[in-house]
Amino acid sequence: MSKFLTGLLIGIILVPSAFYLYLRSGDAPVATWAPPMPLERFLVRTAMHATIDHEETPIRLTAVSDDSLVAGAQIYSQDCAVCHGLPGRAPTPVAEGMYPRPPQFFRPNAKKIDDPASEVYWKVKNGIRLTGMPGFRASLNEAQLRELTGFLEDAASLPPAAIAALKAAPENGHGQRPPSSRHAVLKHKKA
Amino acid sequence: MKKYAIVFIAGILLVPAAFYLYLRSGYAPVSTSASPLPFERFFARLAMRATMSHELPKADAGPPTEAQLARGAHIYREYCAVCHGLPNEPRTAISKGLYPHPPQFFKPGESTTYNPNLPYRPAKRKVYWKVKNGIRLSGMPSFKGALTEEQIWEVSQFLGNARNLPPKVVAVVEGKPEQPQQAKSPSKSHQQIAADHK
Repeated sequence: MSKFLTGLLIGIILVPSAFYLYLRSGDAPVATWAPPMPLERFLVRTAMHATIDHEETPIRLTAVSDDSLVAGAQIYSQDCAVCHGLPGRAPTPVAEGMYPRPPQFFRPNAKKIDDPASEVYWKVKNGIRLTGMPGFRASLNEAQLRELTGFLEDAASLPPAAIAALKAAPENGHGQRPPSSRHAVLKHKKA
Repeated sequence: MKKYAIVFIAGILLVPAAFYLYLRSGYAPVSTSASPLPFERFFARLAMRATMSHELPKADAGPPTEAQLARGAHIYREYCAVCHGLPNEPRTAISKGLYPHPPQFFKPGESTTYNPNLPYRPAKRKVYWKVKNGIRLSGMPSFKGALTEEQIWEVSQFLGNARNLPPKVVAVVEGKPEQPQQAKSPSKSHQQIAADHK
């Protein structure tokens, strides 16, 4: 019986030790351009989908109007574009250097966002750990989160006004803009 | 003996199976505001240090000149500030929402200090490595495709002196309009930046 337990114990200890030695060796991928770790994608996707399925609440996007799409476009230009891109612009160096690569939503042959709205909403609100995707629950209010979700769901078929709002984004595609632009987003919402 | 081997294998399989079920359960931390995975910090730091110790550049660059700091400041403002912050500015929504939290090199909303009597510090090799290669699973991108070797050193030099920057460099990092002509995006293809180095 004691032999039995010893065998089990050694087996249990072996896997974490091997993993520890693997990391310790300096050959584990740390640079963002290195290839994925063994089973990395599989495990990470499992966890992500299990958690989202578990936590997501179905949301209904009520009244997606041109106005709400414009508001979504303004939030997108400020908080998302640096990584996820803008129509007619090359991906930024930040986006190019990340691992995993942030999906580019406005590339000519971009993958259409076909995730259900509740999953997009969950990701925007909570972020995705180990990917560089931030959670915006502390920075955007409920209405803004919904505007952004509605905007992303319709990214492939935006009205001209929303596209114009995207084009007004700063060159480097991120939010280092005067605070007034932030206020513009808020004011728009109240109107 | 046979029994012993079976149990041994069962032990080996037990840990990955438990880990898989943990991830599958939907209770693993996926949201960026959740608490860390068990042992996450420990393993992540271990791998990062081990890899870096293999790959650090041999020599440090010497102490920077003010011109190098200014060029570093410009690159920093363009590529790094969105996550790592600027003097006199609040943190961006992106920066607040990331996990792990990107270190803030300037205290949010505060200006920098400058003591002209202190010498500039040389860049740290570890900083250079991180800018060049990025850090996986953290949101830190690699800039080896976008910046030249020299530019990566300049950014590292700037970061090494973030607590002690001369006013001219502060003006660059804060994007003050009275600054002389700046290239819009200091990418490798930009001849202007290359010319600046000469």
